[in-house]
Amino acid sequence: MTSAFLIKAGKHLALLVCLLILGPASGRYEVSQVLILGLTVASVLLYHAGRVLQSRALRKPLRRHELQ
Amino acid sequence: MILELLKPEKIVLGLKGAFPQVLDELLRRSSFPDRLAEFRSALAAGNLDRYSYLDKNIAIPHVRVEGLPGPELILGLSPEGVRLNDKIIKVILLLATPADQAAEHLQRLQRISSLLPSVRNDLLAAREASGVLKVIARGEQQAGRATYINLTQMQVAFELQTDLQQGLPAPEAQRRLALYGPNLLKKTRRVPSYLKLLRNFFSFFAILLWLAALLCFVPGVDMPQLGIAILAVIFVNALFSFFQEHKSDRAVETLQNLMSQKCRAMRAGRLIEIDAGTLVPGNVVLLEEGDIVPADARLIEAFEVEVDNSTLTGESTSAKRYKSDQPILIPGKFLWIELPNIVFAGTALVRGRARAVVFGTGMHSEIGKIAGLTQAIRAEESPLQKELRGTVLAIAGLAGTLGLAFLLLGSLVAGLSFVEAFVFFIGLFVANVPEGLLPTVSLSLAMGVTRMAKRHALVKSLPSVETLGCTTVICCDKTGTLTQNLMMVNQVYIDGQVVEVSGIGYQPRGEFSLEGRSLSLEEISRWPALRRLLECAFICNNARLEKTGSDYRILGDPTEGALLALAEKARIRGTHLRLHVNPFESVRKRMSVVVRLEGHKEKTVYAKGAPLETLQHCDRILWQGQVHALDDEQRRRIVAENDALASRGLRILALAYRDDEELQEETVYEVGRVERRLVFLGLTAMSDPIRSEVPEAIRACHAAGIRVLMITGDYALTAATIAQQIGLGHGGQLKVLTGAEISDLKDEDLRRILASGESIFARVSPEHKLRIVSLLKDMGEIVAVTGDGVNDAPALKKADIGIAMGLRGNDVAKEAAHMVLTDDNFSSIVAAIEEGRAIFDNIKRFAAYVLNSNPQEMYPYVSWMLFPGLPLAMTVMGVLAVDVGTDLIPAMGLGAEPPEKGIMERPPRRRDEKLLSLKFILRSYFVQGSLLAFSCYATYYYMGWILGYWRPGQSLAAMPPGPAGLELERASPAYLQTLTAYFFPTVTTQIANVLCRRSWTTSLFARNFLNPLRRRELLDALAHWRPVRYIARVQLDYQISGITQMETVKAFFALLSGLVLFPLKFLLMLLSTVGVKLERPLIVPLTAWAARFLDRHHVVLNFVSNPFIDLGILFELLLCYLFFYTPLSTIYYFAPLPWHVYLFAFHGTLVLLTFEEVKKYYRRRGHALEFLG
Repeated sequence: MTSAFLIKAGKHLALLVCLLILGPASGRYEVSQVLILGLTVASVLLYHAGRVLQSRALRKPLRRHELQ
Repeated sequence: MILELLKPEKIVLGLKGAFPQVLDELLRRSSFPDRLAEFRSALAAGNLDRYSYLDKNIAIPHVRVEGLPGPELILGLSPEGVRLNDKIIKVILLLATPADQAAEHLQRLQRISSLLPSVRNDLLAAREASGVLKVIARGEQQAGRATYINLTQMQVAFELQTDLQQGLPAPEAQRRLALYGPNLLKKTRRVPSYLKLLRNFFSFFAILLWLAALLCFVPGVDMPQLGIAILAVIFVNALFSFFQEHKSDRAVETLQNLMSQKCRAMRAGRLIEIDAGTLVPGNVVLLEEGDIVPADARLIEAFEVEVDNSTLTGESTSAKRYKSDQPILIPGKFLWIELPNIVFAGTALVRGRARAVVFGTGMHSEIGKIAGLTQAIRAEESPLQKELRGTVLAIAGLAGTLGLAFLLLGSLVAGLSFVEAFVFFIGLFVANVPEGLLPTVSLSLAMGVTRMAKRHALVKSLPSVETLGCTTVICCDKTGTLTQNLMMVNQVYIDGQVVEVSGIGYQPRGEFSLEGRSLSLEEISRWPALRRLLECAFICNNARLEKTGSDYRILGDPTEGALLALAEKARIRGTHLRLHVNPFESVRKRMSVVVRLEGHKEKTVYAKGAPLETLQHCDRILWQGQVHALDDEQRRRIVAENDALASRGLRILALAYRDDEELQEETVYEVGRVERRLVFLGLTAMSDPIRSEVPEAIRACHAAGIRVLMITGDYALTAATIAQQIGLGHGGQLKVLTGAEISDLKDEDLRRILASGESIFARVSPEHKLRIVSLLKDMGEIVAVTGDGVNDAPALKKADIGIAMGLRGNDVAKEAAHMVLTDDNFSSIVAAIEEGRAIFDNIKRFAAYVLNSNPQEMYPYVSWMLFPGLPLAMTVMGVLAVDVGTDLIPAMGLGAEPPEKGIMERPPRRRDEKLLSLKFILRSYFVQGSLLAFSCYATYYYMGWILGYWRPGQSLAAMPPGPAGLELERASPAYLQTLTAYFFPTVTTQIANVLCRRSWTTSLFARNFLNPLRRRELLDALAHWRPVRYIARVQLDYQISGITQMETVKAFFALLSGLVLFPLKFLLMLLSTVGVKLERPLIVPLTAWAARFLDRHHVVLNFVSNPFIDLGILFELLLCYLFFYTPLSTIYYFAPLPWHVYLFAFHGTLVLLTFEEVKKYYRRRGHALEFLG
């Protein structure tokens, strides 16, 4: 469950970044570029944390006695 | 191992003639007819090497042939014997192996050499190829683990064609290197690395980042530095993903690294150092302490050798190894890897020194096999997961189409810039694709498997979990599954009289009584027939009685245990020397032993078995102390007594013996020679009580529309009595067929019998079981079948759900089955079926919940596109907020629900029934989805009314207008409030939605909403919850071995993370300490009170009984607070609302609850109301 949530949160933040970039373009508001970059990095971290947790949950250990 | 290669067409019975003709006969069965010339030349027709002969008239001609596609075994049997040189050969097993499989060849040779002598007699007694295979299977199974005979060094040297002192000469080593290949681990073909890297640059998540980067360079935005920084993040993201995928490939390389790089080998008598990659079978290597073993090798010399096998076995303790040159049979407790005179590639010599001859290199070594398996393993996807993957793609397509329509209309009609419209499109797409569906399916299946394990059913694969829910027929054994398999002899029929026996279980204490009068031990021992019968019971027996505490248990078959206990009760043991055993066979239904009793020179045969089958081979009877001929009248009386006892559900065995002069002359004790002219002794009748849970489980099956067929090797009357006791046949007439009757039936006739109702199939053989299962499957039934023996393996594999017995089943049956019952109990099968149905239900619930929420997000866009005057009621930020807030955590809670009440009162699901049919999707979208969207619009217009824009009866467009071009920064506070007013009911209605989805028919307010067991579990868990003592530990010392930059960096980050995490750990420790201090005065009474409160107020308990859902609801409400009352509101374009609007928004909760409760009310009364969703 946590992995799916983190992946979704990562994608959500990535979309938010896109929208925040558009803000200054229309002259509506100023958003710090550092903040946008920080959110981008945060989205990547969340996304990969979710992927790592998901792959760990799916991986099965190889049992030695199955080779006999 | 042997059974995999030996096929019926490779078995030749009744071989006769001279050896060359015999060899021709065998070679005619070869799968490689074009290689016969090579076989003949390698076998040197008639001049087998000395290692081909074993004791007991067995020969194993074996050969390795270059370029042979695969290994081959051909077995020939000649009871009369074939003369070969100066030897008489009766069993010939031809073994041919490809030349490059030296290790496998040796392993097979050792395995065959240990097995054949132990099954020789049974092989020669077999009459057909299937019988031979059964003997081999039994031999392999009875040995327990695989056993291996130890080949001598000289034989190993012969097989590998090498000199153990000199090693291989260089030209020969080169030749073999070309044949076997290098001593390296090969990787299978994989996707090229550059493609994998590219794939990660353009995954869906990466595309979002690309979009962000591109936006930075768009004229008007002009943030090139930010764009470059985001490009750098994309690059790092792709690399990181690439390395994550690459990690599993590295596992193979890691294994490769375990194999040593250099080693010392003998080449033509000289010791040289060579690259370990050039080692070939036949090389002689020297190993010293600290060396990594370069290849699988047989020890020739060993001085205090200890190896660390942890790379292969995971065991950290070292194992001693010896040269062990004697040709001993190592008893069946060793795996191949545990043989004491073999060392394996990748392991380390931790002590001593050794000289060894290599036999396994590269992928033919044990570590190579691990590498091969690692590469071959694929995660198994169930049919349901495949179906859902297709459904998610279909919904994504639908969402994409709608988003595209919005993109075009938005940019062409509504005045949005293309970029803004495109971002809206992406937002719609992300929000509408139910990406949580697949993880929830995995979670449901995994939790279902865990719940099944707690109910004693170990499911081995995910597809089996789904199939369980569709089961329509269960073909079930009787003894041990429906009954307790706890046999006790109650009566003995002897000398025309019935002796009653008392006692409890297997305890060797009890009384014998005749016509109400107790018999003393002396009277028993002076009664010839009874004494003989008890002796027979004791001697013709492989079980052992063991005392555990105050109780007794049986090691071995329960039936034999009952006979043993019977003899022990009379203190009759019969000390003897066992000369031969003809073990029990399900075909002949008898067993016999040939013994010499203590103090006697004569041999005696004791036999026991099924009454009719044993009586057939008796021509005399021990009657009142004398042996008389057995006439028809006596036979009739015995059969009548047998029927009378069997009709009471007792299990009957007949016992007999023989000690005539003809027997004394015998030297061969096979079945045909000893199990004849027996003297009938009497019958034992034993009871096996039914398991107490079984009648209830049978009722549950009937209620669930599942038929139960009893398939047993036992007597028909016994089986019918048990069937009546457990309620089979719904209390009516049951069809009873015996194996003989089944054999006489054509398939169409048997199909007619199997088509409906419940039946008993008694006295069946494994072939009958397989035939029944096959026919049922052909008829479209979903069949579950139980089994415990080697002979059940085909039926277990054939069935949709093969169920092996965990306690009494053997490894072969467990291997073939899809599920293993850890308690051998029939009721556990029913529990597993219940869980299987629950899993499918849960997934359906989750899907309905997720799909219900999509219309609330789509309707505002569709309305805005179709009716340009209408303001947009939900922006893309609102869509994202709904997506992250409501779609995941509560939905996953639905995936974790236990089985609903009444789940076993519906017929089985059809296997082809789709989880998400088009009807289901349309109903979810347009019936329930519309109801939820209505509530959102109602609150939206209520807000408009409060703000003075709209009144009932006015145009729906009379609401605070959205800003031109959807520039939300210019939106009025009124518009923001209406956006919030539309958004908030999406949360409140989803709260009701998730709670209502927990059950299809049971009211949320009903006392019996929760399963009583689950209810008790929850209340007990709450009442006994206690704070955990947590101690904050921080490791500040870090040992570095070798000064490298990477080590220093690792040490630095370890220290940093310890320091950074310390405050959090300290806080947790404080909380834990406070909790522990408050445990007695506060927490204990509080949890006890909470448990009592919830027990009394069942509605509250019903609402809060799923922790995932509770957490999800709290999370949603917290998000609402954050979105409305913190600076996040400027990003998501929300605004706080008056308190009465929040209250009004909860009307959606009440409306949906009412709607669902009414629907459930009618459903409980038999109206499906499918069209309402």
